[in-house]
Amino acid sequence: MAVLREGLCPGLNEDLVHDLRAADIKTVEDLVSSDLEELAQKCSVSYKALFAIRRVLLAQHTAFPVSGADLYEELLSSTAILSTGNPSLDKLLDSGLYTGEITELSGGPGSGKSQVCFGVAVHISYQLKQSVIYMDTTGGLTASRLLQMLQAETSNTEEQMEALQRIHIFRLFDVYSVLDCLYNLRSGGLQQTSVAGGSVKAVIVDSVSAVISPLLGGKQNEGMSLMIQVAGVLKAMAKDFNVAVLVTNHVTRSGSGEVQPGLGVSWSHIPRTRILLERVEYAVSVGRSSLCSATLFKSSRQACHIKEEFDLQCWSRSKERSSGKRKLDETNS
Amino acid sequence: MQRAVSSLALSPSVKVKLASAGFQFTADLRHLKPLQLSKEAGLSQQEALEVLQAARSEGAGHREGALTALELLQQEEEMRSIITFSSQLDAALGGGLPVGKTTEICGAPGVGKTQLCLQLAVDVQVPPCFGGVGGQVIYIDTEGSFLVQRVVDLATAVIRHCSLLVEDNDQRDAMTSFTVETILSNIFLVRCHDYVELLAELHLLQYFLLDHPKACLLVVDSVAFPFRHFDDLLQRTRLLHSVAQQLITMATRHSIAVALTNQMTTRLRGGQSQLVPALGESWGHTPTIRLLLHWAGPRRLAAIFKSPGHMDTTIQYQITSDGFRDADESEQPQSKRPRTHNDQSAGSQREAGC
Amino acid sequence: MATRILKRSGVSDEMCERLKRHQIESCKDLLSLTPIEVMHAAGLSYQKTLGLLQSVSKAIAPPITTALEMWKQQSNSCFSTSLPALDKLLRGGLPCGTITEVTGPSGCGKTQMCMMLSVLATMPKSEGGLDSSVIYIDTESAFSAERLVEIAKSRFPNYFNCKERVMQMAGRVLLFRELTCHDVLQRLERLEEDIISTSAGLIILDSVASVVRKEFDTTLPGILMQRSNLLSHEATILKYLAHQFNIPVVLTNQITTHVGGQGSASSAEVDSGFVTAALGNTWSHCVNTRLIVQYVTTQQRQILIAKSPVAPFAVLNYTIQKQGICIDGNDSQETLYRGTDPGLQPIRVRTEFSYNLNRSAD
Repeated sequence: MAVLREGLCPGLNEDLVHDLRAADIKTVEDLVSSDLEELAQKCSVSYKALFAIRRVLLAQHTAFPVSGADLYEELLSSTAILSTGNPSLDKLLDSGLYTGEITELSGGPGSGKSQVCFGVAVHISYQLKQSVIYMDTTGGLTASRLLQMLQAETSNTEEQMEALQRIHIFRLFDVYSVLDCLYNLRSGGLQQTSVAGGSVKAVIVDSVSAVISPLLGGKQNEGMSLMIQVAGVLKAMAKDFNVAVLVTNHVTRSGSGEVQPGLGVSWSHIPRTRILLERVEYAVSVGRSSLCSATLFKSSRQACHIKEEFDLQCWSRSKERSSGKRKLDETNS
Repeated sequence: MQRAVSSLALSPSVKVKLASAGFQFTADLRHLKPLQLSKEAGLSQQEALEVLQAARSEGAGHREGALTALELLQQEEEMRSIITFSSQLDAALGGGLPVGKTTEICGAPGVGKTQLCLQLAVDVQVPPCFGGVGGQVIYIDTEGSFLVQRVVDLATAVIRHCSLLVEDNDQRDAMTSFTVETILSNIFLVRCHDYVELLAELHLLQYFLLDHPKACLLVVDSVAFPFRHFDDLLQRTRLLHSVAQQLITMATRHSIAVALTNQMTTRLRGGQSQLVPALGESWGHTPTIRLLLHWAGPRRLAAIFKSPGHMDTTIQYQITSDGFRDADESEQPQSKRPRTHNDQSAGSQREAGC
Repeated sequence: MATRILKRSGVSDEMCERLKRHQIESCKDLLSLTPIEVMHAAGLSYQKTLGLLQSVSKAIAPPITTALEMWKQQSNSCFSTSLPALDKLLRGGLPCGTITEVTGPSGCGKTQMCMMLSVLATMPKSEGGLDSSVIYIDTESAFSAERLVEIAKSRFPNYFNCKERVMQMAGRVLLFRELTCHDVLQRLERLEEDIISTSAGLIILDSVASVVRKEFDTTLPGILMQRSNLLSHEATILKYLAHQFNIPVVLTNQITTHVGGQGSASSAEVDSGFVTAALGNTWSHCVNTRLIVQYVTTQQRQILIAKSPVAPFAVLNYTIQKQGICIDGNDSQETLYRGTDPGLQPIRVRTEFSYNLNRSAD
């Protein structure tokens, strides 16, 4: 809530502010929640004046109630569904990434999270011709891999270059830089980026756990507060600008040895949809396969724990070509 | 579009004071002067100044970090990878050890992790006219396996290899300054005895890199040994994650390649014991590329099992008196170590190689 | 190591007081925390915290040298073993500043090797020694002073021709008998003072395995990790001492049966195990050089170089005689063998008597 200052509303002059401060009323919130009669006596100010000021402040600072129907209308008109480019993943996500929401992808090391993020970025930038903001916190982004994936979609160099130009990359490695960047985007940077290519429709953060996990635990809870800040600004960005937010997370083992997404219970409430990625085990003996299985962990639209398998190499599945580098089999005796 | 004060990079106690004084958003601080703020919030003048600077600095650095994928592609094409002298491994990694990324080399004891690191330390200095990077290397040794005699052997072999390739005057000139002494003088060596010294060294490394712009490679051999007997495992995970973020920040900002070695540990899973990379599962997320060196009987194999840019592949290699090389039967009389098997599996490896 | 307190590392008194309230007194305490924990304890902003960490790091970080400087100090970087063939393979001898392990079945010659090296270390540099004392930590009570004197007199008859020299040599070998893990660890932690007071040039620990195996039963859950932690801790202390004083450290290890054909399944054994070095995978990482001694026949034995930063996999034949270890064959002969993971290298044990091969952990 805002600090009480003169000129905030008619009737609030410097002397009054000074008197109120002496009575320990510093913010609008303090004034509104205090007992006006007592205050009037303490500060030797008229009750009527205080009452009038309170009315104005309340009017200035309250949130307006919105009817459910209006909300629904708004959602219908503004939400878009972005296909990820992979039919199995789309099926899991109920036809794609929804704007206005955070979707989380978690998985063990090397399970393919970054590959999925690349696939999504390439698809949105090339097929849907929209801009993508990609925040890389682990250094796993290689533009040559993006180019490789684009080359599997089209062989026209100009189109490839155009698609690459629509992907905006930020490489940030600590939580304060991430927060600075997100706040900047929220307060106008997003529109600036949109001017270049199509409007920004997706923000991908790979991975959010790399910057947040060193903050959690230990003898402090600042880290938790920072995590909630990051979540808050991502959500607000998603809602206000109608973008789909995709984040990646690592996994931990629960007490019973089961794999679950990391960052704890507090984070688990933040994303609307959570998917767990795993490499398919049976194929490992013939060398590591590019087959992934995705399980729906949390969703407000579909039944949980449905599984889909897909091949990381052939992202769109319609093209049966391999991506160029053949696998070597590990010949163990 | 208000930014909460609690998201600024300030000390927690300062944030508490600001919150109790009623300053919740940076917009509230906008028109204040330091003295006024320090009086209202009960902060010292220094702290008040810091707060106002932090609140005003947003918006300024927005455009700095942004790149389009196209620009990044161009940057990547200009950066050269560090060759390893094993052509199969270089091919599998897409040219060699990538600059600007962290690579983890894990493996069983004696399989060749330190040998590969020493090879990289020498290879990074190969002059650009021979296809190398011509840079310096910082070698952090935590195990004591850095033996200068071995580096001298490797350096001599690389110099010999390059002299055989000399074709034009540029290369001839480069060879005059490419001697064993210069190679040794470009390897900056630090010996860390425990994890505290390692962490201290890493904190100072960014300043060292600013003073030595020619440094292209950082090797930490090994990152696992000092952390093996850590009591509080959760604290260890947090520290390792911090370290990983520090390393990738350095790698990106100063355009260096970072190579880390990791050990293997035995993990009991359901009665069966398995050898897995040490330092825990969450550590596996942090390096960009992971190489697993392992034994298959008397053969040494290198498997790339995490790489965002390349497919998972396995290649065979050997350690000769000259260093880390491809496993090649035709070179048998030259190498002092007849390691390769005479069976068809080695052959099939080659035919599938890129 | 880094137990320097903050007051002497350039941190202001006021800050030291503040940190003391959070139980942070030494540099180690401070650097073991992540930046955000330091922000919380020190009450500083992020930038200032990085500055504080930097100034504390400056106080602790080891100096940066170049490999060239290290090469220039070549003169005393190897300890010649008086076995020319072995020295040649190891490029001079046992490297100073590193840990060399000798492992193998009992009776094969590990303690003989240790005693021979002790004699050597006490001899003057002109004779190929280190001209220093030796710290010998014995956990198996296998050290025999008579044998030490016998080796000295038989191996170097010209040098040890008078009683004074023999007495002087014996006086320079300091024997410590430690019989539990706790004692061994305590001795290692205090070894720095002993090394300085006696100007020791060689540390021998015979053997590292016996106490550990007696006290840690790895079939119980959680014990394996405790044992690995203890071994890593011991290795860290030894490597620190070896590096700071630039001396070689020699350890002996025992053997164990490795059950299950994981790794060397290429050999014919399908369900039987094989004998290999004890103390597991973690310990194999900790040692810098591993020499395996094994049997060929009752008299004939072999030394295998199983792990070395400079030497290839090589094998040398030897016998044990009055003067200690004697390498057979001429020096120029170099036999190489197909080695594998030093933690899983099969070791041949005595087979001619009714010797129980499946002797697992003691």
